[in-house]
Amino acid sequence: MRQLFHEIRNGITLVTRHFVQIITIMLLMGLVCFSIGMNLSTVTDKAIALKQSQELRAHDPVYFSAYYDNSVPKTQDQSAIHILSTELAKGSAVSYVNTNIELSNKDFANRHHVLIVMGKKTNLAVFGIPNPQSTKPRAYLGADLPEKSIDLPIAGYHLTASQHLPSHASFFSPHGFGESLAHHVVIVLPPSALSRMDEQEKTRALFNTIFLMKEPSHISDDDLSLFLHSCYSWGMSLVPQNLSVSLPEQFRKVVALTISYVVPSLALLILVFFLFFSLGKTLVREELTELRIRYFFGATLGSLSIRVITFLLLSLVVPAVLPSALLAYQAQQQFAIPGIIILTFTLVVFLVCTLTTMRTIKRSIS
Amino acid sequence: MHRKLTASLSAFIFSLILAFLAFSVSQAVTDIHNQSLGIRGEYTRLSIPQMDNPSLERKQQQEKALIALQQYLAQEKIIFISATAEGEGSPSIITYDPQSTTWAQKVKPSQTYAIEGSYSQQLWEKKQKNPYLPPSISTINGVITPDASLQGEPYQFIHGLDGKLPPVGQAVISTQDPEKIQHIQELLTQATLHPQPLPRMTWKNVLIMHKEIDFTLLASLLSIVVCVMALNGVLEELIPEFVIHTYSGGTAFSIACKYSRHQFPAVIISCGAGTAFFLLINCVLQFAHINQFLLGLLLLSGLVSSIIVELMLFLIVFSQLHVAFAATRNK
Repeated sequence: MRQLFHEIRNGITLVTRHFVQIITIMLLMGLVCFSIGMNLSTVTDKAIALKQSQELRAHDPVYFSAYYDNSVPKTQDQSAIHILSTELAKGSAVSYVNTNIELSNKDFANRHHVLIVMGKKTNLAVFGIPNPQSTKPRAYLGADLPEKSIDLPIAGYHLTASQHLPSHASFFSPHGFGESLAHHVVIVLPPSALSRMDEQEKTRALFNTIFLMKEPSHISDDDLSLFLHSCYSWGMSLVPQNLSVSLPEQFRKVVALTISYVVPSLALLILVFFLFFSLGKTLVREELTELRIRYFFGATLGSLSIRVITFLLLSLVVPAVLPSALLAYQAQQQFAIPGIIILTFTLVVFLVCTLTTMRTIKRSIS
Repeated sequence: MHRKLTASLSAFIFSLILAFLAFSVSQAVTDIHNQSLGIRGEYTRLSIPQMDNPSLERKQQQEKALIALQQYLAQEKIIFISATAEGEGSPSIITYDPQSTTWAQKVKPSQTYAIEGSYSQQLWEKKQKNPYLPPSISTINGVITPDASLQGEPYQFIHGLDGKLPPVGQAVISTQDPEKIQHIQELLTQATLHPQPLPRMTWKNVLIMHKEIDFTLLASLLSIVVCVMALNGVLEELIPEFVIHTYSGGTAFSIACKYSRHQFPAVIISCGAGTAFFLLINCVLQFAHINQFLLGLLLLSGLVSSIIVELMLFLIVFSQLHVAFAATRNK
């Protein structure tokens, strides 16, 4: 036992001799973990959105990007609302309202995020809701909401949300990313409720419309033109965009923005392992004479290896675990993936390097 | 074998990081190029925020001031291009080109053109009414292809500068003369718009706006540090062999030269491989549009990285030999 402590103490002395290299390894591990963690999440979010919307994109969806013009006098022609509610009832459109809900009632839904979905095909954009094809008015609570039930007076209905959604329930928006519904209150309304909503909710519903052009009963060109003219009278210029074209393009842009961080970080990680490998070599070269003498005086190979392993452990595993654990503690979700990447790589490199070092020592001693 | 591998590995990684530096620089250059919205030569950018619904009286005043602006631009031969930011105003671009040197030379004041490939073009071809035009504009004169920086955006039509549509968003004027800019700003202020000149692109601004350049630069500097540390450890092993060469009259300089020359093919091949690996990643993920400029930068980065790695090898061997000589002399 005393010998073991002696060996470990000697290993720590070796660490202090190569302090600069070990601090460099630690700092670089931290930098790599940080830069990957900051950037990978935007790419994975887009990739999840791309995967979520696969079924929706098969329906040739058209969504709108909006320009709000304050200089146009607003007349609020209701024909856009009529067109939207007929299309929703036919099942060739999906619409949702995720902001500006019941602005007059500040305590609506206990101030949780609310999502209103409408249309027969809501299963394309909202995932995890029980029987999504039905347009019966109803409401659900997100998986992480503490309330047992919430009363929701909206658009002439008095709904009570008491059923919790499964935790994988999520929602796809062409204007944002795929979003989890764990902290949302979800309300399903029939298309006819659209005309009873207030002005802000109607504006959001018009803006968030997705028309499905692959459906046999899809919106006619004349109706689409009328819809856009009517939206112009609400002070919005809605420009149709093809989701099947624009979403992969958005993904490409996100990748172009983040790849300059992710790939150089991974390259730096490989260089760090290279530095570690060279550190192991230096150690064997410097310590070989001493190890050989001790071997001649009866030390076993096992007891000699303890010192080397202590050194390698302190010079790679600790500098890798410390910064990634610190970052993961600060912001759990963001740095979990890069932490796992770094730790698995570290373990593999540590094992390989230890084995090769031990082999070199064994060969040169005997 | 593995001694050659160490130099090649560091060359490969280093050239890969430099290739990403080249990519981020090329992206920044494209961004700066796109800011001019197609105006060649010197230009100034103005940001014009959207104003609230003007009264009828204000509207007449605005129309008057904008026509005065157009006359002033015609007199001084200044090109004016403005594009709305997403979410404000109408999906339009407003241009006036008295010099007839840009893509917008076809658009005369009060004329309106649909943008190639937009929904408005489809409507115009089917002779349907356009839902984006304000009531004061009734006809579309034709179709136009805008500058590359304005393509792929949801813009619908281009309007020649007159009083009917106020320029909102970002405007570019083809002058840097402070007096002329001042006069244009005054005219826009009379038109109840409040323009703010945007800062000119300096190196500092570029580095602040494009953080990926900062990061890749930092990564390449750090990788030099790590490479030097690692190669130092690996090459130390070779020193006893090198010292033998001194018995046949080799100096530290000649030995280091010989070693780096010996490593040269491996280094340049791995630098080429690093740059090729960048192109391979691009083939899979399709993130960069390969153009001549980017290819030139990549070639340059490959060459620079091989030179730096060679220099590192030379300096490490040279300094270690000096240390070894000093040690033997002391003995």
